[in-house]
Amino acid sequence: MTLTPGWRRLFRIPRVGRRGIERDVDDELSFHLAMRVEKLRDRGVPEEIANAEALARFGDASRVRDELLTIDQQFAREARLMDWLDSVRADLRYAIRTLRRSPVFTIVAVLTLAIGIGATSAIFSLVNGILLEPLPYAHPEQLVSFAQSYPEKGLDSWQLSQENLAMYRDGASDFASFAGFARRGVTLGGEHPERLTVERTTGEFFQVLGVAPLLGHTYGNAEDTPRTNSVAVLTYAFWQSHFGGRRDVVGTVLDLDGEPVTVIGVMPRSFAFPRSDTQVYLPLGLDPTRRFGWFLGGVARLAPGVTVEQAHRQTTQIFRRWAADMPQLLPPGIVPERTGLTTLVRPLQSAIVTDVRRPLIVLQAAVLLMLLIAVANVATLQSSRAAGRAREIAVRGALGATRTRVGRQLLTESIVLAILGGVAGAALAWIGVREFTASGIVTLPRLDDVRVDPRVLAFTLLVSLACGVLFGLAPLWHAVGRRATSDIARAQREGSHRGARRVNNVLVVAQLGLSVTLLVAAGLVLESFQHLVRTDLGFDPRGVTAISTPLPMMKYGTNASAVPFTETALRTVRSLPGVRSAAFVQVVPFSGAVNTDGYLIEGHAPPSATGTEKQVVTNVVTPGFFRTLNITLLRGRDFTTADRDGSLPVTIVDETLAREYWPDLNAVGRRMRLTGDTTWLTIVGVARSVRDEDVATPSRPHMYTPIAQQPTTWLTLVVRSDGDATATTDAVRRAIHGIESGIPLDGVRPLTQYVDHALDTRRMTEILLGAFALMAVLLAAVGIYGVMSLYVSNRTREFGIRMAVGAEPSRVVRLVLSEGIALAIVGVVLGVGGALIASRWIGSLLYDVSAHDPLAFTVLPIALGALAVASCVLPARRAAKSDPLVALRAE
Amino acid sequence: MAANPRSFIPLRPVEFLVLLALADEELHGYALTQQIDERTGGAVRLEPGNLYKVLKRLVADGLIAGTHRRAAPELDSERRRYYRLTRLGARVAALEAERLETLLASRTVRSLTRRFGTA
Repeated sequence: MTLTPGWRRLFRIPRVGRRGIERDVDDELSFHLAMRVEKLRDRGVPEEIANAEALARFGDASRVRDELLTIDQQFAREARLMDWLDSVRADLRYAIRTLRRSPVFTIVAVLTLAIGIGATSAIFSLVNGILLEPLPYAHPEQLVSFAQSYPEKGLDSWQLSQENLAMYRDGASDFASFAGFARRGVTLGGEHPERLTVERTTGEFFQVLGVAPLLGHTYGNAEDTPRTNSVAVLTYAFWQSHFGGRRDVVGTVLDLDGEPVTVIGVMPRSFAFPRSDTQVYLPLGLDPTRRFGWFLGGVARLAPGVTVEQAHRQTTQIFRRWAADMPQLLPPGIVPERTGLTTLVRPLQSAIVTDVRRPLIVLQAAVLLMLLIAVANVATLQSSRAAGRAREIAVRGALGATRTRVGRQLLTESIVLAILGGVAGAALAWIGVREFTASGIVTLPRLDDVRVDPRVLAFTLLVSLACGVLFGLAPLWHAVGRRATSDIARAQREGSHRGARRVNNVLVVAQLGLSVTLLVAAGLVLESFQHLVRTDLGFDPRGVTAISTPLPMMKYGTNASAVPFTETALRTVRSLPGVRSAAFVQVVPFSGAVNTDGYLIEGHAPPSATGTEKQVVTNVVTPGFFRTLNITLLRGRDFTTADRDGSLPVTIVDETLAREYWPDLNAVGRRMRLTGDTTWLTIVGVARSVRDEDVATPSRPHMYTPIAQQPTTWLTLVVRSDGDATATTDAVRRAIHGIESGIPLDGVRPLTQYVDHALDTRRMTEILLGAFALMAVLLAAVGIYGVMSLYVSNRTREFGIRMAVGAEPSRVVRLVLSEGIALAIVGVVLGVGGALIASRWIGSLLYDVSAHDPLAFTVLPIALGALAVASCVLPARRAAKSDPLVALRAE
Repeated sequence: MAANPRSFIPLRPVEFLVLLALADEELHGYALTQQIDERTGGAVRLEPGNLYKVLKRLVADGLIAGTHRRAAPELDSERRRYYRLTRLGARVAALEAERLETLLASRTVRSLTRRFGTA
């Protein structure tokens, strides 16, 4: 940028650049000399002498010159900075004034941006808190989750037995510490017994996670031995809710399952492992001699410098050595090295969030598409203003403002707008995230770590600035694409030139394309979700209430005594008004728990040489279970009270299992047994298969045994009722307490809730994606309407002339519509292309829907295209009404 | 950025004179020498050789700065750069003045001037 001398004088800008500064310095020095000479001359000193004298007194001229140069260069730097700051300040003032002059535009633009940026930031809060933020434990990168795997047995992820746990803890030097944990319920005794969610952990649990207690201390291996289970560590939430945060809680004795347990510590608020609803941690009472019972989850801290891969190698060796010593585990003659036996060591963070990673990334992408549409929308608004402001810009150009200067001014305006939108968006995100995390609509891992934190705010700022630059490009194109000075008159006349129209066309196509992509992707996910919701689970959860009824261990220690209780309870409950049927079951569908075991069918070969022993899901029920859940019995009979201890051991299998051996389902009378048990069970019935683990995956083989022959105290009452479930449930609870007052009855939930929870992540994806797509379509429709209106109003004069020389109004309508249709076709085609790419990418989120589902790929794009064309109709009709006289008079 | 004004105390006499001269008005280099000349009754004559050395040091320390406001173009040549006191410079000058005041208020100084002073 060079300035003419006139400019320099006008604004008193010092000469910049080394050459200019040097000239200034020399001027100044000679001024000093001249003044000195003049003074001497005034005193009557002759010219030559005065000159010599002045020079002598001056000092070392070249050194002075250097010093003056240094000073000047610093001044020049400061001056440049000041100038720049001044101009930015002026631009900002001007931008704010301009925006205040058109409040409707400003409000609409800021709101549009706020929605786009707010949604983007809200989803980023989830991504940030769940996927990016490191776990809140010391050196989280050293933490790994641990499990075993025996794929040949269908045990893709196999938990640990107590023996397993001790052998890794003591034998794997790659781990600094190693712990197991298992979720259990215990009953807190007192006036109103209460069921607590407890995590039983092994001694090194707190050491692995490296978190110090808030109060008191934690337990270690010394407290974790069989039958020394007498200390407890509370979570922050439980401490608050049950002790009001009292600091003297340490030392309190709790009655847990009838045993006195002393509180020794309280964990800090942020501690939420493995799940945030844990209330109390108790030592497991590890008994390394217990070889069976694989129920422990594993978590470990790698020794310093050890990689996940090294730990995996070492533990797999330990695992195989152990397996070689387990004749029951391996088929005869097979060594562990020839099987797929391996350990699963995974970074803890990725293990925790593995199920939600893809949905979250898809949501983030979707919301960014929506944001782009919002940006295109604001760009359209900007364009329409830029056309209207052509005169203002031309005037400023004529007054000497350079194109860069005008461009910068316009860009400043866009960025101010974007920042306003960003601030409003951040507020929306903050509210949204707070409501979302507090609502409990969905359960996501690490939901407690989700908040609008500085990183989210920085992201919001960055996104806002990017938006500002993006939609600032449109008016820039308008302003800078035009020659400055001579156009005042023309600018006024002709708001739309070729360049501007091209910008608008790009905007229409982009908005339509993006919303088609987003809508089709959302359509696929929505369709999947509908399929999931309508999936026949094999049972009907509606109208069924599940009441967990854990029997007090002390009284029912010998499981068998639970049987008379169930019989009395069922007799009483079934006689209550409103109850249609009732039964007890060990594992409620979708409760997250599942028992599996290996099995043998009589007359079929035992586990073959390849080591493939089939696994079956086992469950224990009372008579009436199948009727209560509406599970059809395809063959044979239900259990009866006659199936009891001492009578013929019986079982009911499901269709999946039966079909494998008896394609005609004639399984009744055949015999099977569990591999760990020598008793043969006679099959008395075949039930329909039920999906009770995951809606999306087909059922595994099941077998049911009657409680009278397989007693347990771990029971849930399921009740199917007519009418008011709440009233019935209350009556049921009173009845149960009448029989056994020691049962805590606070675990009451409709069975539908269990199923719903299983669909949580998918529901979140569906709801949010659907909302974003809808929003995108709305924004796009408004945007397209805006562009077409603009297009028409810019050509009012042309249409007026056309009609003045005899064009039919219908011809004008057709002209506008054909333009709109052409744009719609291009947009839809590009959008479908985008959707094809997107659908491949979201494939894993789809269920029972092809990634090229014809419905989503035809109906939705066509509908959107039609919407686009429809939004041209109004402007087209307006064009046809253009009054030739009005149009021409505007000249 | 926020330098501690105390770290500049004591100032050299000539630095203090420059700051004092700029306390009332913004001046260019030549006018500065004139001002100091007048203020000291001709006792201190700053030749350009010294002047710019002092100015450079004061600019580098942030006690004085260049100014963007200048006299109207027709009244003055645009070639000359003007200097002004910065906030820091003003605080340093005030501190130095206080220091000198305390020094001058001492009994020794008073008895000295009574016995040997010219007034």
